This record gives sequence, structure tokens and C-alpha cells, in this order.
Amino acid sequence: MARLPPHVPQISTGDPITAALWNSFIYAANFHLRAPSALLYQSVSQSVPPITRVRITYDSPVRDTDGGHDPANNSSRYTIKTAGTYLVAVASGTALQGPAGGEQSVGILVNGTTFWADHLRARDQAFSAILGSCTAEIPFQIGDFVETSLWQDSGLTQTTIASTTVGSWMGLHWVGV
Amino acid sequence: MAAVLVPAPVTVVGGVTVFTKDLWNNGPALADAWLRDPPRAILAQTVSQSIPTGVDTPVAFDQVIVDNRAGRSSDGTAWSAPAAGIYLVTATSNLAWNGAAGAFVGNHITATGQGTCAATEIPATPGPARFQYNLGALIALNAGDAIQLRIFQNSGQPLPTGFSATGSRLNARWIASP
Repeated sequence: MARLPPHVPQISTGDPITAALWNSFIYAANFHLRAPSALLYQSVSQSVPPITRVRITYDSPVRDTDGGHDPANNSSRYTIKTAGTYLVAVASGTALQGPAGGEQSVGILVNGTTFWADHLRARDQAFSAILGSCTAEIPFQIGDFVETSLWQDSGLTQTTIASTTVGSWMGLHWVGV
Repeated sequence: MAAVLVPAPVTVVGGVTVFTKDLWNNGPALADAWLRDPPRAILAQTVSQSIPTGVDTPVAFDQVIVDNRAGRSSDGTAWSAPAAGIYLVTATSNLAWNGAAGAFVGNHITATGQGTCAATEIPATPGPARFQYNLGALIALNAGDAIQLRIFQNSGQPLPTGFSATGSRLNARWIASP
């Protein structure tokens, strides 16, 4: 569901406060109070082959005010319905399989090509899992889409951790024009 | 029991001005304009920078994606708050690594008079070839206070910022009055 960003116009001396003008203020107030927002998470584990930019698939939207996510089609994407600047935060990670070594990164990917933020770290620690998160403010046009990218070069296929607490998720919120 | 006042309908007599131009423009219109577009910046680095050893070095942002109140310094190493307020500041760092084992990498968001407001500091032993970290902080700034993203490394030699996925970025946004 697309929405127009709010805009309360300035007026000149003598201009009446018309119904349209007043309603633009009411629309703006409601928009700021409930701006476009989404929170998606993954409840089914996903394979992450080595040296492959995997897009995290989200099967469980917690919140999606504008209907930008389709769990059945391109479920890794959130497609922008309302133009503006969004605060985007993602987190993802895998259980550690095989020996330590190499690198792993979690990133915010826009329109399949542009990384706006990335968290890249070593896989040398012998933990049971490795997770990362990152946050960025991103200007979007209608139709742009944003995804969570996960990459690793352990030499083995790893598996995402699917959990409502420490798994993969992506949240975004309209914060301005 | 105290008497309860029944609300009386408020009406406006015809011809009386409820909103003057200034009241409207400085009230509903200004509030919406500020909320839609508060002081904010999105800066990026597209030119590699040498980070000397042992120096907490401000990252120079050469590209302005957004800077609606012109807060970026001329050399790109700082962004100054145009208005007092609480700012949401996030940053991504980037450093190519070929230093010796036993060294250390730090990433900091700093603010005038407050020092480090967010940090990721890790040993580089055993290190990967690259580091890229994401930082975030809520920072109370006075008008004119500057924020920076800084990178520290003590490998014993200069190391360049890199572009494995994205170059370093710095975002700042006014989100509330102080």
C-alpha cells in the first residue's frame, strides 16, 4: 500500500485555513505517528554456500505497515512503497561447522548491487555460532528493494540460525523525506 | 463530591481569524517540515585513505549523499550538528589488513567534549585480510559540536582503508530536542 509522504504547506497572509489544508496537517500527524515500518524474521534455516552472496529469506513478517514484503515471492526483499529515508537494521549469522578460519560478513544490500553497511569479521574464534548486525540510514525511491546479505569463506556450506531471538531479521522504518 | 463541569462546545464567530499566517506557518507547517527533514547527513568515503600506525585517525568522507544543513567540514573528517539535540549516529568502517599478528584494531565514533561514544575494539590475532565494522550511538550534541568516525590500528605500518563491500560511511540524524 503506497502512501504519499506528508507535506503541510506554508500559507500567505489572508489565505483561509481550508479543509484541505487542515486535513494535510491531520494526515501529517498520523503519518509521523505511524510511519511506514516493517520487521521481518527467518524461522526456517537457510544454507549458505562458501564464497556466495546469499540473500536471507524472510518467511515471517512481524510487522509490515505498507505491504512491502511478500513471503511467497522474492521473500528476501522488502520493496519500498513510500519514498523517503529509512533507518534499516539487519542481523544474521550461522552456526559454526567445520574448522575455524576465513571471514564472514553481514551486510545491507540495496537493489541487489549496493552495500550500504557491512559487518565483516574473522571466523577464527572457536564459538558455536557467529552473528553480526549493522544499521544504516538509506534514501529510497518507490520500487527500490533492500535485502540482508550473508557471506562466508569457510570452505564449507554453513547454515543460518533460525530463531526469534538470535536468528536473522531485518527491520526498517521511514524517518523522513 | 466536587461538581463536574460539563464541557461547553467552543464555536468561532464568523469573521474571526482562528489561524493567522504566522501561527499556521510557525505551527503545523513548521512542525511537519522539521519532522520530515531534520538536520541530517549521509557521508561516504570513495577514496582510499592511509591509516598510520598508533594514531586514532578521523576518516575523511569525500562524498556527500545528504547534508541538508551543510555540517560537513571542508576536509570531510567531521560533521557538526547544526542544532542542539539528540542525534542517532551510525557508521561503517573499513580497513584492509596485512599487519603482523598481535596487533589491534579499533573503530570509534567520537563527539566534541565527550570523547568516544561508540567503539568496536578487537585483537587482530589471528586476523583476516579485512575488517569492516558497524557502530551506532545516541549522542546529545550542542549546535556546533562535531562528530567523527575514527580508525586505530597498531600493526607497525600504515594500512589503507579498503572497499571490500562498501567504503566507510557516517550517518547522523536529529531525532529529539535536548
